Amino acid sequence: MRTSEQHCTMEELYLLIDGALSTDVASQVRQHVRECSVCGDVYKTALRVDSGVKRLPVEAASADMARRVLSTLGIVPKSPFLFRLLEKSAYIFGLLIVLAIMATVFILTGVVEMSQLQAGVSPAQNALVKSGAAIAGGVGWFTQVLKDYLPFAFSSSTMAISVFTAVVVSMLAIADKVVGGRIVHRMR
Amino acid sequence: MHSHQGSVIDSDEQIILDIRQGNPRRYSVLLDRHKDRAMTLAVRLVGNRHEAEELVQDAFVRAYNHLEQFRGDAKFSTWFYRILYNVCMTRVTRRQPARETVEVDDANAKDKLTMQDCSPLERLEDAELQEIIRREIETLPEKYRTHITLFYVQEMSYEQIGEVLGLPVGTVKTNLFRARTRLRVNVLSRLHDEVKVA
Repeated sequence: MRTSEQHCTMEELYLLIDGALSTDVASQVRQHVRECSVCGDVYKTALRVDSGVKRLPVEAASADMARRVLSTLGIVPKSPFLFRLLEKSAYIFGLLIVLAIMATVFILTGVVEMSQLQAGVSPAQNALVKSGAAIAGGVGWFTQVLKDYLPFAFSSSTMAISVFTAVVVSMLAIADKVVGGRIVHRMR
Repeated sequence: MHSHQGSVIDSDEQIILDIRQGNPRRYSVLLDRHKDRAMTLAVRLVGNRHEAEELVQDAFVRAYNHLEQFRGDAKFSTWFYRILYNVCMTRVTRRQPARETVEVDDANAKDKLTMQDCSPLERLEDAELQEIIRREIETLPEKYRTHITLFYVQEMSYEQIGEVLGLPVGTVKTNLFRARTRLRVNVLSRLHDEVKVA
């Protein structure tokens, strides 16, 4: 029989929490915990931490994990290459659209003016102009390469932009595939 | 009750039977059922989501490829977590040398606990407490993190944990007791530190 001076061990308290003590021992320990403030405090904190651990959220696996496992096992066919390309590109497309919207809003609201961009009013704007020029240069070079090799695709400027966007996005998607989906994973 | 459509009501063992009878697509039910908890264990073991996801995927592929070895003596989850645990530990041990684990002396732990003021814990909001617990679990030695995760997240019994880790039930009980004791001590210490700083 437990005496009031005989404190519970932590093991007894955890077994009590788990409901793993025999009925007799459990009622003795419970009785002691009610009467002894030292063991009562320890029991309460153990219970609180315990319930906190139980309610920790689980880590969610990515939604397409099942599909990836099934396609690795050959249970479901792999998605067509074009579909996977578009799927991978979706995030990059999203990012490009957000950037385009932001740029449009900045220009339309007058936060950034085209004339300022060209004049280079401040160091920050200067940097913006330079990076814009670099990008434009890159785009120009790339378009020229495309024009040289794909002249049939450039009968109109809309077609040129479409082809250019499709090629860039596809290249990014392929690069992402090469590095094991890390770009898209990080963007998620 | 058994239904090929109503995957929610089918037991894991029934689904495995269906797979063996030529319906491999049923494996997706097992995947959906266990992937999040598996991720939780993997993240706790390897410490980052990207790697954990890759390992969970690998474990599911291995489990399927060795499904004929599943005899049904234990639950599928127990068998699967053993595979996942081995996959994760192979990665962890390859990445770093085994960390030295300091055993908690039960008697000292008891003394420490009785002397600690528990009042900050009582005043703490649930969300704050969970954040502290989550951080403190990350600082526990791997052995203790695993026991805590299997016990609380996977809701495994001592026996099932023993089967997953290949340990006798007595050892599981001792490890789990030490893990919980250390976690509780660390949480209280963290709270006291934060109270002092404040």
